[in-house]
Amino acid sequence: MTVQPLITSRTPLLRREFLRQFSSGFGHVALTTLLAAGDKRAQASTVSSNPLAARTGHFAPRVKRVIFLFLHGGVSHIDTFDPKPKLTQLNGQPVPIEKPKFNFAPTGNLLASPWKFRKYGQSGIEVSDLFPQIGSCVDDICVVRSMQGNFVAHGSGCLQLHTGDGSFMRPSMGSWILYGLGSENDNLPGFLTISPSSFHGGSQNYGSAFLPASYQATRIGDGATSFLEARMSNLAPAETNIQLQRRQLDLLRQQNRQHLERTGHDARMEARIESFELAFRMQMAAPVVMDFSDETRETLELYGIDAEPTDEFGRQCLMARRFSENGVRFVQVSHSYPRNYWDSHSNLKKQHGGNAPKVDQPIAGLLRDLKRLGLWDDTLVVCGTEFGRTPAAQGQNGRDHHSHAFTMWLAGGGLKGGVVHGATDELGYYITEDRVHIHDLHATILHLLGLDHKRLTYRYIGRDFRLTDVDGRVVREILA
Amino acid sequence: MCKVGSLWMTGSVWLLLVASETCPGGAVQNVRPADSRTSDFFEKKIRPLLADKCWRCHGPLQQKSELRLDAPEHLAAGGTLGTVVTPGIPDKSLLIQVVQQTGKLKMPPDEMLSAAQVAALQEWVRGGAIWPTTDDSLRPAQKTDEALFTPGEKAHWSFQPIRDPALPPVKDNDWPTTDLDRFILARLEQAGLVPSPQAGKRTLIRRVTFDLLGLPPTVEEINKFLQDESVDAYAKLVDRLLESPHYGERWGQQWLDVVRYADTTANDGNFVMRYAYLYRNYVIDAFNGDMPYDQFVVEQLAGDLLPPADNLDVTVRRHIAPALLMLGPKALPEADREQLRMDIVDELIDVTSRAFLGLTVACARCHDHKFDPIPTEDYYSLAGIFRSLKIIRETGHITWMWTEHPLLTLPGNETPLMIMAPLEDGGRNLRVHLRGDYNDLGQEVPRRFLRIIAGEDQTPITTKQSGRLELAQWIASPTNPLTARVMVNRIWQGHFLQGIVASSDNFGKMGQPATHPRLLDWLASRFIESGWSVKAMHRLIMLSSTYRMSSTHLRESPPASTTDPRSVDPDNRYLWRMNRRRLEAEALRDALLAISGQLDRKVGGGGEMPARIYENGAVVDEKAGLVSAADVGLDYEGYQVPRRTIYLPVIRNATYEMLAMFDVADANTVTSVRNDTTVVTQSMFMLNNHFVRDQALHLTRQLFPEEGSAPEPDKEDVRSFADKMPVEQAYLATLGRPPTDMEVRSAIEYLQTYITETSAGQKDHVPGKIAAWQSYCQLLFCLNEFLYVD
Repeated sequence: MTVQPLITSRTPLLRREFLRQFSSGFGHVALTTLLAAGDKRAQASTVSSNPLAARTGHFAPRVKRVIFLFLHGGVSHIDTFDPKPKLTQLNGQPVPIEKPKFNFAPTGNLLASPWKFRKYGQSGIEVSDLFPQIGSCVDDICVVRSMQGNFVAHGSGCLQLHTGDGSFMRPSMGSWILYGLGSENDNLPGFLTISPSSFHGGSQNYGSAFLPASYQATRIGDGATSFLEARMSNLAPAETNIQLQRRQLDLLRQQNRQHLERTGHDARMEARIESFELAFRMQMAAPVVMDFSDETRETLELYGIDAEPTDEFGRQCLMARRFSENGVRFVQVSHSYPRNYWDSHSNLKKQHGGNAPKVDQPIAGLLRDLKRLGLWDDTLVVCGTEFGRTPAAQGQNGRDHHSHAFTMWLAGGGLKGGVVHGATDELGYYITEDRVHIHDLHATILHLLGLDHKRLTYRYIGRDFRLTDVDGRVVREILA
Repeated sequence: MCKVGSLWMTGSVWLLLVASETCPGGAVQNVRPADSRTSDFFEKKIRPLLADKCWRCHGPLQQKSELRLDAPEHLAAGGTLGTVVTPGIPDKSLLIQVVQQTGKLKMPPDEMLSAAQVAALQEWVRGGAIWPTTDDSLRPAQKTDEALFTPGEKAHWSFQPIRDPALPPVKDNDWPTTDLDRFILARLEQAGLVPSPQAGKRTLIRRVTFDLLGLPPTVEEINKFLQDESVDAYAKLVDRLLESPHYGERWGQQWLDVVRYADTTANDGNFVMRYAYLYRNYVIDAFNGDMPYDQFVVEQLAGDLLPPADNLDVTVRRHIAPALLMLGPKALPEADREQLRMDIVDELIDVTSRAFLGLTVACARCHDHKFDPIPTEDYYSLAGIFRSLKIIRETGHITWMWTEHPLLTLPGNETPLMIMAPLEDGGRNLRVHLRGDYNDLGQEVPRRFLRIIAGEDQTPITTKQSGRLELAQWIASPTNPLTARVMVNRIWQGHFLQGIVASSDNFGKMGQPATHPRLLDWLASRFIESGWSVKAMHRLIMLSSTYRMSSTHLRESPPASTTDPRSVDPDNRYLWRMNRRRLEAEALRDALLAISGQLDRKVGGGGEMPARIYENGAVVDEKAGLVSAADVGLDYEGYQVPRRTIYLPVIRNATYEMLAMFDVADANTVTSVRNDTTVVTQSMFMLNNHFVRDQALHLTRQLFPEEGSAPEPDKEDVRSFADKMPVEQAYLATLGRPPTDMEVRSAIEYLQTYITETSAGQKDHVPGKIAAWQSYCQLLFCLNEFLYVD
């Protein structure tokens, strides 16, 4: 096949060519049937040795899947969702309270936010002018202003956010969830990560560590590659036409079966015979999900696709929605280094000001799209960053890392909308109310999926490990 | 291993409270006035304050004016100026006067406490200056009246001395070829099982070649072995393989898994450790040279501290080996320097205890080990040893760098050989870190070894050095009950894929019990007796009948009286057959390259690849020689070099995807047992990845040396066609056996159809024939029979 049936077939001709070859190679099975056939939600549950078989959690879930929007580099809480008039008032003055004992870089005097905050919606929650579109969805969002992590550097911070631990190797959140619940679609990966960075923990942030490899993420693209060129590894068939590959697989299957008869039962070898068939189905199904040509112009516009500066992240978000609605349990979308980076040690105004417009419309579009498609109640959207930024200036006009208090937000099924949880002091340095540690966030995400973070354990080197280590509390206050 | 959950809480909560109280405006009312008599008040406000502001001069390290403020008895004793606290009366307490800084004596020097901090101290003294004893469950119990260990703890099997057991009697005296077989057979007979028949010669040569070299046998090697009908043909084969320089590349990798070898630091900067490869080559050489294992242990922990050697090579080698202590992932840059140091110490305790002793000592960082008799004091005894080393370079606000230094200038070189090695930093004892928190110190413990093994009345290490040489010698001693057992078990696992103790880095209470405890001791005895020779262990194991059993489940004619082993022992724990090996990631890649003729078999070197990442990486600090590999992608070109996989750079968090999907060890931690997972990404890789396709094309070209001369399949005579065609050659190269007639027929049919479809109308369409063969060779690579070694 000369066509790359990959991400975005923006040229209809190429797409038609692909479909023609695809259907000729796959006979009577229509594409949509393939997707539906893989969708186990339509089937009676069956007992299976497949590690990815869908299973129920510890109790009734509030949502079935998660979309995690990760803004990499440290988004400033006090310039986005946590307004601090006092900071504006004291702009340029020395910090009147004790700064944290450990910091990443030295900071000076207080720095007012360059952005205005406005009240949005019925709730009147204030959001800065960096995120007017997300602001207009604020009645559906639960803003947590009292997030806390333990690390002042990106690597440890990212690892803690993704795996629960910034120092030692642990499975990522998506792997734990897949381990707990399995996948809802046999023909698609159960855990997908879109444009992850290779920095700051890299593949550890979506790896399965000591959990079986079945639970690691499948990656589309990376932080260094334009999303238009992003690929899922080894998805494009190597044979020049799909019929040839089908025949190759048929003979392979036949010889593998004969071999199995000679050697006797071996679960691993049987599973591998099946996995070649699954690979074939996945290489058919995934490109269909990754092809936006059945989306309306209106939908594309909702995400800001084909417009700048929103096109790229809009596509990432739409792809997340498409995989999510086809049963992928955990999809992470990263706005990540080195092509996008929120780490504003200097010139905060330019850096945050450049990043926000790329993601504001796409994220708001995703929320609106989930609502109108009826996916809202089954989906949890989490949006956040590894840490916030200091109220004091670094250099003239930047901010340093700040993990003592920062903001994340959640939206979707099982959650209160239009509420603020937690608070920081008048300058945004420290939490004053309802601390939500990253462990608590993890416990809450698992809870919404019907998993008890204390019971979701895996034994390794003689000890039961969990995502939340020895910590974690479900933030019941934000549950609907 | 447990991360210090509470550690940060202590610090953060305190900061939060102090900050809130001093914060101008409304936040303050959220803080309830605390009762200064409570443990909570002391732990949150006073202890951290004393630790932070006072203990540097009035603590364990220094006692200026003979005053210590780190324990209630010291506080009560006061210093040269008398008592410092009058409980209940702040104004009459010297402590309060000096922090108020109204008099001549001002404390802390060069700094003034915040008003809130002074107020907290006043409040505390007013309340009686109560210094609560720490929660007993967290503070290591003072077991003065009772024994440190219970009889049950002392009796755990792996702590008992190794005993050389008598050979067990067996009914079938014909089956055993070696004494080892008696242990296996005795257990099988006891379970009513019969061992599988011996494997055929084709199976054996494929098995032993992959086992010892990680490479497939060549067609010539297979034929030579088949033709050798002498009694010792098999023994000669094993000896030949053990002498191959590729042996060290295979078994060295297994050790590199255990010691979490990598070329970068992971985490934030993922900095290139450009001299790490010297250690990797050291390991390969050590296995190839059959270095006695006890010596291997000592050199890796303390080779640089050994008495000077008369031989330059030995000197160099011994200074390279302790890089073991440098290889771990490091959370650079971490602003909390002491936390970083103690995390590195923890990682070293984890690696050394699991690698050499099969114990999870790192579990005792915050509390006594939950399952094994390892008190937290013993953790800090070992921690003292490692904390006495300089591993990170102590510069600046944030440290980015570890210790590297020139060793010596080798003859013929202009520049000195650079090595990555720990530096001695003066021997020091540590105090127990309560809950793992370095701000919260308990009693000082001497540097010494684990008391459950070395005893409670051992002589502590008091040298000016760290004590790692003493630690190494204690580990490498023949009387250490764990060291030899752990290593022979690793060797056994390498051959049979499952250790006699399945949890090969956990010989503690939560580990698996040994399936053949007496065999383990017998092997350990032989190991020590042989001078800790790893190659002698290979011979001992591989020449046995046990090792030579067939791996298949099916018996030609099962004796009617015997039980079906599949129902009695489905997991083959008693070894009634050989375990079938799935090629490991490295063996799969190396085999594909070997079969396609592309493999560069050069041994050693390999420093050029980390050097290349170094050249291409982002320079962080030119002066320090610090380069980040963080932007090296998963498709890094260095992964495409056709050298054996062990020489590819190991870039933490950007592991070559092909290796990662086939369960390569994650270099962020000790890996003693690789996973064996079957996932769809592997199949997608085999079907669609250019690497596999390229090797299939190279094999095709080998089958048709004159490029583009793939002959037309002749439909008329299948046999003669097969004679002409290289189907047989392809089978021998990939599977080590000739194809059956039926397989030849399907091959030809497959090729014909392929050619017809792709070269419609073009009679001599050479590209079509090449493509057909490429497709067929790829199919052979995808066979289970290729990936699984019987």
